[in-house]
Amino acid sequence: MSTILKVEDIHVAYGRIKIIPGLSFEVQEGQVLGVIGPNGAGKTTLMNALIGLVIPTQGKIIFDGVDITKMSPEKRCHLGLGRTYQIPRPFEGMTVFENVLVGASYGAGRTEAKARPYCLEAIKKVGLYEKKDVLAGQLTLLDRKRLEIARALGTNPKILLLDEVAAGLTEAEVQDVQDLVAELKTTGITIIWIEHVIKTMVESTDKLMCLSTGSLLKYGDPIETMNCAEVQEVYLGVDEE
Amino acid sequence: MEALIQSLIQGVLLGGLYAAIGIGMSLIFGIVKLTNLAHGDFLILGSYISLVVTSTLGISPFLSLIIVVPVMFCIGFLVQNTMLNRVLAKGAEPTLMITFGLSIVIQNLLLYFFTADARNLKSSIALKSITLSDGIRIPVIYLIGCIVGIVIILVLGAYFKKTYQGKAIMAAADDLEVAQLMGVNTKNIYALAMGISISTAAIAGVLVGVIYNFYPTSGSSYLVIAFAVVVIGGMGSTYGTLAAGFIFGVAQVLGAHFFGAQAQLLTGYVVLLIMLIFRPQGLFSR
Repeated sequence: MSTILKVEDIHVAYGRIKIIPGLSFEVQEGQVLGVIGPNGAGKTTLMNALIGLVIPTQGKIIFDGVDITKMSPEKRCHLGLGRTYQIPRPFEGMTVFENVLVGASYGAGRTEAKARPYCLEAIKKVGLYEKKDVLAGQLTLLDRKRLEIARALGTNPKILLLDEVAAGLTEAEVQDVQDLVAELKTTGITIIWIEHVIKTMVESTDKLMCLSTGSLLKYGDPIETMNCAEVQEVYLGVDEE
Repeated sequence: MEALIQSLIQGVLLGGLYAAIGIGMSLIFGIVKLTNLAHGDFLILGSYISLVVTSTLGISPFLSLIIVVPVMFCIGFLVQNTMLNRVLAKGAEPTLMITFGLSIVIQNLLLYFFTADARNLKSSIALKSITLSDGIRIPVIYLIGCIVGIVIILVLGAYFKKTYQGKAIMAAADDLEVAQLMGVNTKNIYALAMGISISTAAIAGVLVGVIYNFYPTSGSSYLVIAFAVVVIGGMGSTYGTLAAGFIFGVAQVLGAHFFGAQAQLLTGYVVLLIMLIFRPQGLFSR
């Protein structure tokens, strides 16, 4: 497996407040990397930096051999970075199909006619085919999350960034999401998944990374990471003794 | 009774024209969240470009739209791309200042090149009317203005709904950040939207240029009409603009019918004021 994403000592700040004071890690192609950490650990800020919504003040982000540190979000999308939101943000006045079509045409650089089959494929993959003509504003939370994934898939991503897709879902729904991620993994997409549900992270990821106050606390095998005393103390509030 | 019916017809026809005047402003507010204070001046610029084209080529003002619309589209696209896009992230004030500045520049350029003399676009249609009965006549130019207003709005509605470029514009209007993450170049989309907005202003400019006299400073009065229509309809609502055009037009003409010609403008703005008090978000705003 080759390295598809290399984060080299990035520093991210909002004004004078430093959220990530230096973070480095690598992601291998086809891998599912889980990212955990307590609230305020900088997980979403990391996601925003990877996708181009915030620009690191220092350091580099190398994606598929290209330095994307200062690249605009739409160009990153064209290169193959797709993202979902923790709180789904569909274009509510559009149908499921139309939502996916925007990314499948503009994001993946296809004409509308060429984008259509890819849209349907993405919609089928997430189990929304029956609702493809339903307005996004009328979907349930689970379906909105599915739509988020379908929309990102429509852009033909090499890396899919999932931001707490399991949040707010029932246990059965979380299992659905896990199954979907497992299926996506078989297609060769690299996945970076931020989540609070530890069980899901341990079961579904190849590597697990724990952040604390914007720094890397532990990176490695999921069980190994969860068994790390520092992770347990910071994340679960379990004292070493 | 016939006089009242004539007034109602006149109001509806005027409303269609008002919708054509306001739609570009509504569009750009809905998509870019920008209040274009130069909207009326772009409209009058369209009238003057049509004047140049008609006098140079000897064609009718309506035929001049073949040249006027693409020229105005390019102006709108360039203004958005080279000026407004640069300051969008800095809040609403810089864009207001730029469009205010553009308004002054356009007025003074027109004064420089065309003087302050009254102009109009000559068309034989301006004098024609369809007689329905002794007291009821439909002025053809107002009928055309109304039909054009309705057609512009229907075409725009279909463009946003049916084309994938239109969907990208709607996506950017709905959620700029997500649209960017979907690969949409939002700056180009904004420029495209401004091009369309200014093109519709130019079409309205040719219509008002045939109906009324215009001067380099006439844009301000059309800006006020556009504001009224956009506020009543709900800022950003395409079909709201059409409905608001009719309400504003009918209110004005009925005001003139019942209280005299001097009350025409007053009645329209009283309706606007009532609207602002009871439904400040406009009729069709979400």
